[in-house]
Amino acid sequence: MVRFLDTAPATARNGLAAARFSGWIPALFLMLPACKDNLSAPPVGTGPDVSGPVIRLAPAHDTLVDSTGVLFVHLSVSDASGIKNLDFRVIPATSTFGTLMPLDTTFEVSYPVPLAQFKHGTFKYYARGADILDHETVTDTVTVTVR
Amino acid sequence: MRDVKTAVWCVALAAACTDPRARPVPPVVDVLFSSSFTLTSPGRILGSVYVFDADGVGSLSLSVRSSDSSFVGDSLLGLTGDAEATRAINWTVPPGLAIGTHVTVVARALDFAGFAASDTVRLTVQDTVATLR
Repeated sequence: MVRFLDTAPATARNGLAAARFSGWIPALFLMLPACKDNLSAPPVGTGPDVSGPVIRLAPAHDTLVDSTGVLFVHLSVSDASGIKNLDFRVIPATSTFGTLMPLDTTFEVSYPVPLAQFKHGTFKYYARGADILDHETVTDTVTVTVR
Repeated sequence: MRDVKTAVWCVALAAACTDPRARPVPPVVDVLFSSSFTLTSPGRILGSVYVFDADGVGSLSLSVRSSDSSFVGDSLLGLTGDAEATRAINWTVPPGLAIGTHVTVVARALDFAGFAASDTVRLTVQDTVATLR
């Protein structure tokens, strides 16, 4: 009697344990393929330099000036690979500025534009630059009105 | 209730195992020249070197060797662990290298995980008059 009473709960306990562990087996099979070697491609950066120099003009927008003195146009140029050459053009071409070859990653220069010759008129300017990989940048054209 | 907990743990573990972390790999090193670049003696080696590594680039070394060993140069750049960097190559080539002499440029990068990679470019002296356009 005592043995019978002991056996029944033991059988029930074994059944419960088997039921509890039976859930692990499919779970382990699920985990094994998930834990396989991860050979996904590494993340990539922005990549090599494929763009021309960044050229900032000042003044960068159409502007109004008096006809006295000189307007200094400031250029700030940068390029990760290096700036090969830089041109500053004035239209009409009353002044010529030679091509600069800074061979540096950053460069700043100011061009003096005499204003008297443009009195009661307008002129335009823009800059063109290229890096040592021959990527070119041409800035927007700025119009200056001279009083 | 316990089965539910077990299932939750299993799902969490499986999700953790599928974390899309890639194994560490060597850096990407790329030596670049413009299509119009010609090597002259005297002249300049003008180019660019790009390096990328997700673990951070520790150092970048650049070496230049001519085939007749008369022109030799080495440069070592310590980087600050950035994942990506572009550096200019600006090397003065001495006079006296004959047309047809090969000049080998090797860029070698080392990342913080200990992996190294290199890129080699072999140039040929094409003229003995300096030109820079």
